[in-house]
Amino acid sequence: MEKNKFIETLKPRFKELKFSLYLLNRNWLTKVSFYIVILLILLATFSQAISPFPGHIMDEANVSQKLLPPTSTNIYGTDELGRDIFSRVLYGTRVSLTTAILSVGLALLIGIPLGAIAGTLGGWIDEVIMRITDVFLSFPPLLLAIALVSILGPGLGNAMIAIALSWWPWYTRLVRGQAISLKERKFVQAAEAIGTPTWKIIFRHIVPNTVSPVIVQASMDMGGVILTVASLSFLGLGAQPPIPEWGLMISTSRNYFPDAWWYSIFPGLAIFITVLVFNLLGDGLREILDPKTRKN
Amino acid sequence: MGKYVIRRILLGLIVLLGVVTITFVIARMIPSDPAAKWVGPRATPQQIEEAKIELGLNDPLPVQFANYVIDLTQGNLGRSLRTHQPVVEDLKAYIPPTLELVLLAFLMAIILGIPLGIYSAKMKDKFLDHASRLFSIGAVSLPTFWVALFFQLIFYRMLGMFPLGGRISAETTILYEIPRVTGLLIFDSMITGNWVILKDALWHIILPCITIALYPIGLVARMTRSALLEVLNEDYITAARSYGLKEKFVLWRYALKNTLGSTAIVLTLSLGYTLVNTFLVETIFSWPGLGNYVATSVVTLDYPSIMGVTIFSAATYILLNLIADIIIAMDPRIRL
Amino acid sequence: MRLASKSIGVIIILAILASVLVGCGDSSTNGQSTQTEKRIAYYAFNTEPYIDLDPSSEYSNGLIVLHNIYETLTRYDSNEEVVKPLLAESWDVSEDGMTWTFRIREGVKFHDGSDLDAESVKKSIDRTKKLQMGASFIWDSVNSINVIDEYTVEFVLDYPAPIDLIASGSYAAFIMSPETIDKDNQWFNEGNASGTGPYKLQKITKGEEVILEKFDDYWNGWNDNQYTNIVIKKVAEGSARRQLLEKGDAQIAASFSVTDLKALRENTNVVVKDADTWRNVIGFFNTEKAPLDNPDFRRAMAYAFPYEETITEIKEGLASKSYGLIPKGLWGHDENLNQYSFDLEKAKEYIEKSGVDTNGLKLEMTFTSGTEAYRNFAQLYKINLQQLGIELEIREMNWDNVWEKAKNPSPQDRQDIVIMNWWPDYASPLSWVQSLVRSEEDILFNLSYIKDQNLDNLVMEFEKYAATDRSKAEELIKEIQSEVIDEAYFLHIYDDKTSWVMDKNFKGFEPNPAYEGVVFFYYTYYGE
Repeated sequence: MEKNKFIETLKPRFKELKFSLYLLNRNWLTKVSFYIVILLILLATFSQAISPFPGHIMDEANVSQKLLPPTSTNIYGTDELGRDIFSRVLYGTRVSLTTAILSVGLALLIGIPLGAIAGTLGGWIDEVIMRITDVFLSFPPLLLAIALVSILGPGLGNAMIAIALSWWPWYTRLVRGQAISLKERKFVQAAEAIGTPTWKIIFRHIVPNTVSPVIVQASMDMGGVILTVASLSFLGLGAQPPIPEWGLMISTSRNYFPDAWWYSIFPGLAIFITVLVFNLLGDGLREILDPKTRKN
Repeated sequence: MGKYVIRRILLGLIVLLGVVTITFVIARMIPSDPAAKWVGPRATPQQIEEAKIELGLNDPLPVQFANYVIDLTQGNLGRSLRTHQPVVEDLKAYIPPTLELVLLAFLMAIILGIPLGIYSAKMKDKFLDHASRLFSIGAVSLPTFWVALFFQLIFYRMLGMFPLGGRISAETTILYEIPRVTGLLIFDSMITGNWVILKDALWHIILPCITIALYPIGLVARMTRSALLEVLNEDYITAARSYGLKEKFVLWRYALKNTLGSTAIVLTLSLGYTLVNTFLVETIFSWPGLGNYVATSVVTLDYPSIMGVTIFSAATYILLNLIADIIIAMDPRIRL
Repeated sequence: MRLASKSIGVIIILAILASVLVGCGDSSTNGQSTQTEKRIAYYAFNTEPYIDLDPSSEYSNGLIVLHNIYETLTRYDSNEEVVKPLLAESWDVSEDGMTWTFRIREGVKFHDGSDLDAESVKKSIDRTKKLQMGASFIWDSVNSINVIDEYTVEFVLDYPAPIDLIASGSYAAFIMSPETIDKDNQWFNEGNASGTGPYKLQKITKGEEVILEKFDDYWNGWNDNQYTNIVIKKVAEGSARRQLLEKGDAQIAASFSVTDLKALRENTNVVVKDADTWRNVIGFFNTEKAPLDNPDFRRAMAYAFPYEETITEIKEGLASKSYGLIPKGLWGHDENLNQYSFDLEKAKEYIEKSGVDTNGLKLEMTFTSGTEAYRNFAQLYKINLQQLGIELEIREMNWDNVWEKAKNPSPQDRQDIVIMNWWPDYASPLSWVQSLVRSEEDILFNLSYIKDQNLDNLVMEFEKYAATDRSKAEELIKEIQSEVIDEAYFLHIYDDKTSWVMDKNFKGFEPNPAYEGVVFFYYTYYGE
């Protein structure tokens, strides 16, 4: 019985999804970004297989070949230890994407439950949680992450934690807003009426229904998170050598700038393009999902 | 209204207290010995012990916290472990240059961003719209530290058009008396009529300013576009058009005025992110502002400075949000 | 249309403004202003020029500023390897090395007009000792300072020490005007100073720049081609410093990356001078934590380090091979001492000998972030160790964190290897053995945690003879280094060199390893 009901609720969702895909198809800029994002994910997954010099990613060095300009063997040139920059930039895709996804994932893990609780329960719990989010949101974004990493020590893992701790308030706010309007919906009131315990209401009914706008928001945030990861690494607080993280490569490249200009260009270009397509995709998604656009 | 304002202010204060608490907790958790830092790199254990007493580090944590809050209300942000100077003094010296950069960047954002946004709105879904959308989002996607390096490469190294960094050339500092009214060099030199310094200062500020302005320009353009699009769909606009009013007129008198509010607010809220960009860029351009100060404090783990700057930025942010909220409350037509 | 034209108008105005500024902007100042009375020398420094402007307590970069404003009793001449008179004209020492008498130069004035005499010398050093900050410990051997007559001052010590060398120290040995003795730290940091040096403090910008101006009444007099104003400014980016020199905007700078130096050497507008320094880079093995408590394992680790590659490729020759603890140019340096070299076979042998199982072994190496060379050789070391089955984790942190970790009361929670560079407070090898080898109760800088009674005794002997019998002291220090090398307590990575780059017209500069980073501007001049 429940299963059929579940499938019933899915049907209109499918219809909406199809409509979204139709809109996506019409906006060519968004479509292109979507394909590039898929490409990036593929590159990230298969980077080691595709790299011309997989060893150079972390395990080997070739110091006598250091700081060579782009040639046919090393299309992005070599770095200060003679490693192939192209292979490292390619692998950097994996580093950036994984870090970003994990950071956002962690932020969601913290933010969604808090928001659902705040929105559903209301009252003083809501007030307290909201004040806490206000406090966190008052910190200049990177500064909080920097302070946190200073305590935890530099490293990608700690950077992820720091970013998650800076980002969760946005999701809490979003989910809370959703929860408040969901509270009034018939199926929630029905569940309350039959005496479902509150925690079940929150986690079985409210949370699943907030997930889609949150996921959309999270994917729109990916660009920003990737940039934050790069900035932290640039400041020396994120990835540590020899990890080929883009921000770290740019900060290392400063020592050799502007002679070894290629060392700064390509990782920076990688950051820019990646963040750009994620942002374009996110922006396109927002327009597609905007009820006003759908009405037209 | 009055009640709302008072409630908002109280809320703001509570949030500020929360910020102070968290900053304090974080600062105390930083694994490094402030006393050792105070005394210097090659201190003896005895010197460190004495410093601990002098800095009040042997008091229990709650007492330290209470002392800190009391000091705060008197405007005392403690002393930097690195420079041994009061943090407030450090802030006074370092804030004006950053303020100058940010203000100028916002000015550029308005001058260049609004026209761009208007074009995008007018040419919706045509090529120009896509191009400007690409530009706006591109501006927001750029890693500013990368852009800074590039501007240096092109405009200093290759073209020799602008100076490398700093706020003013060494020679000018020696040969001329720098006017010190507000600390904003450009403004000060303008009101005192010192054209040499004005020219020098402008010449130095251009590159960092453009680097930092890119993000707000992109933001303002997008904001203007979407706000304008929303407004243009409103009934009263359709009404105005049906009355036969010219398009230009409609755009200016009705549409734009309503978007300016949102633009101002979005700029204010972007302050946080812009400030962060400023921090990253200041080190590259050797700009003697807050960013540079924070960067050095972070690297040396000078927690009173870090706390001071964090609390100051948070307080500013809370204040600006407060003002923004009050403005929105007063004029319900302003929407985000 | 109106809108379009308005925006275009704005853009045109901005463009005109931009071009006007560009056209009028001076793209180069060559350190000489158009007014002939001022001649400016600009030293672009890689970090802030000072932390503390108080001559008694400053223990950091500030020496580059202070050594132009203040002077010391003696100054070390690294070419002749002796101390020369400066504010003191001559001195004697008693047989037992415990009483030193200095005759002070007459006719020297402080910036505020007061005269230099024995009284002011006593007051200065007493102040430094009393404050107990920074490097004041160099005067620890001094029991009392007595004014014998107007220009004669006597130091009475508790134990023999080379006061002539100590008085030439880079820190804590400055003589300041008696009028400033009672001033507090804040007064100095507001930009006040009164020394006997050739330059006065003209203007300071907190943590950014210092501007000095010529002190007309300097006791040694002036020539026409000397510099009248000195600007020492923080320019953090190496590329920025390089560009300043290439354009002729700055006169002198140091701390360049290998690529910058390569380009600068080929530039005919600048002169590059490579100089030895007394700084060496040392790796400290945590002898209180397994497996580095095992001497054979340490020897294996010593054989795995890429010494050659580090010096030739990473430093591109801007470093010399380390022979033991004491760097080249300082007495006690001995090139006959046994050294480790990169030899994987030997490393493997010693691992076997040690009996340590390297399966899954993880070691942690820490160092201060910001030095390109450390980061690079650490990565090469990691790759070498991988071939021995050892995984090296590299952790770059800021100095405070590095030090905190090294001082952790539990040896297990400390790092396995820490990289640090060391240089002496004054011209003596004492610094290394006192701070790095001698056993410590509270951890300071003996970061290999050496607790060797024999070595401690040798160090004590050395201290005794350093002041009185130079040749005996040299023997002792060689013995100490020999044992240290045999036990493989350290990785002797390299002796650092500095490359000074200067404008071709900036003449008269001689790098002095006893005064790290200091440019004594008085001896420089503008020459064609």
